[in-house]
Amino acid sequence: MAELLPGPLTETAAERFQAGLWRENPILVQALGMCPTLAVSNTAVNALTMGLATATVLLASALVVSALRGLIPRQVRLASFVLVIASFVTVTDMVIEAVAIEVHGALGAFLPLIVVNCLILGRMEALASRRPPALAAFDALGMGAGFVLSLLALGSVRELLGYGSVFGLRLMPAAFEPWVVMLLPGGGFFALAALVLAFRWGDSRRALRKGAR
Amino acid sequence: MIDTELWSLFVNAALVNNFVLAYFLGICPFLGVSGRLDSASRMGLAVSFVMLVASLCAFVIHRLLVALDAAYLELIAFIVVIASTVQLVEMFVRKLNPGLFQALGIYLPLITTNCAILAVALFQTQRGYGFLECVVFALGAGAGFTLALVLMAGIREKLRLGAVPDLAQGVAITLMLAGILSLAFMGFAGIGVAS
Amino acid sequence: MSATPTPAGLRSALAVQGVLVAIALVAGLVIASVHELTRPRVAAQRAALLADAVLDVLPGAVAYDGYALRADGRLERLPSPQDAALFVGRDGTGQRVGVAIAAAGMGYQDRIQLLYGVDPDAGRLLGLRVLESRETPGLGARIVDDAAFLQGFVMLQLQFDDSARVRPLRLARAGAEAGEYDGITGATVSARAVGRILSASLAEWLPRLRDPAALAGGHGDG
Repeated sequence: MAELLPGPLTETAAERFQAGLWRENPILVQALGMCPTLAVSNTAVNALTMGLATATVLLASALVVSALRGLIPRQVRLASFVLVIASFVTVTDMVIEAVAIEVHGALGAFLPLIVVNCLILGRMEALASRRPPALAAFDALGMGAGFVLSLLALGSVRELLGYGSVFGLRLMPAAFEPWVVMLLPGGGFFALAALVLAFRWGDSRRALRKGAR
Repeated sequence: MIDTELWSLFVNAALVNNFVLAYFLGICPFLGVSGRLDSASRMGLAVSFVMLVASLCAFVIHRLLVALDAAYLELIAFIVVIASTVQLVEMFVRKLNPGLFQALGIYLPLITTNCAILAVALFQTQRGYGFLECVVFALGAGAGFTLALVLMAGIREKLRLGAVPDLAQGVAITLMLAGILSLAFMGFAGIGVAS
Repeated sequence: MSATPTPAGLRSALAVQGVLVAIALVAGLVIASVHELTRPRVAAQRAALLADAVLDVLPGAVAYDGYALRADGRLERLPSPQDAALFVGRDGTGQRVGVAIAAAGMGYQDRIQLLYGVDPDAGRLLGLRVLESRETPGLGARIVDDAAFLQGFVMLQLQFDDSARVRPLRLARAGAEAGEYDGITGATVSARAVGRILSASLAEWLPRLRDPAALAGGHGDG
């Protein structure tokens, strides 16, 4: 769990935001919080909705936990975090069903599972419960944005190769034979592995360039 | 008739719709604990055990909340009750069987926030399973999780002897292996269909 | 856990529990109020989704009532069709068009949920919609949106044996005949599963529906 510990106390809000996007990207670097989300990453729309729902819950919970951090006793902090997170997930679930029931149907049983997204509980424990709300909010925003972007990339790649479209918009030439494998669970694992590899490759190139300078 | 249906439910939960390989549930421990065979099998056992406990809890809670006409509190009730029950069971195991606690103990607190556990509770409720079905479903899910974890650990132990590029070390290679395993498990599809 | 039972220790332990209970109460309150706020919209959305499906499998129907099976085997009309097991569709003049029935069963990957329309008196199917399935994308999943496959169930004449029991539907081998439906290339298992689910549901419901007194609860005020 070492990688979950927050950086030095002097970090600014902007640094926290950037950390979530790149250096501590929840999916590509920490490999966290993928459980309930990967299952619905077969199209860009599903991935985006699920990502946004998760990010919303993360932000709201971070604000509340951070605001209550003086009140919550250490012994019951995990139980309190889970209560806060579960409430926001339930509320998000209800709102999505009221606003867009088709999307709700597509995400099915996986929306309530946001509760046990390790990313959210990890951020509560590592940062939100120790820092003021403003910093916690920027951290949650950065982590949420990194999460949504990586998931969106995954969903887009799977939809592009599996259906030949992105957001339902046909991008591939008519002769393109869809790779059904990308829509299967196995394809989800492959696509994510490819993303992680690409990210690491880019990161190592950057580090090399920095070193050469 | 009943028996074949229960058997089909078990096979379906364990193989056809394996929690890890078909639903992507419990990926975190799958990536984290699948490095060594003995820890993987112990983790699998611990998860199966907690799944059974969670399934029983969820069955009771669901009946209770429906009777109270407050089904919308289900999620929050599930997670709180399951977490506390696991803690209670943990205390009992520590007192009664220190050996078992040594084997499972360190994983138990982690498992409470494992998506696979909550998924068992949510899926069984959503699909309206009866008591016996719930038990069979939880056992099947646990067996499937253990199987996936142990298979992966076996492969990764072998992999240590091979030359994996630095870039792919860790998460990436595990995900690729998971993809291949997942495709292999696709071959079980159709078993659950009663002929 | 190992707090000594001194008054001070007890008090602090109670305080800790108190915070947790307070958070739980607030959480419950928030959820309950959001539930109350969203309930009308959720109900309206669900009703619209249901109406869309029911009217789709009962061509010609403009309104419908929901029925549930009572313990004594009779059908009872429900005030709200949301939890009904079957739906009786009526056209503009109030004439019964047919009955829509929800059915489910095992497919290739997972459970398939269907809604189909049937005309019990004429003994034929009126339409079929797959509500939920997790069949293989690109192959079995085509049972959901393959127009030719779904069209094969419209006006499909059912076959009955000598004692008036409905015969199971068969997958057509070459050119669909009575009681047969066309499959989908590459989705044989899923297509066959649909036929099996339909046959099982028909065998259960048709005898009830062909009983003239079955829908008595709805005739008077329908």
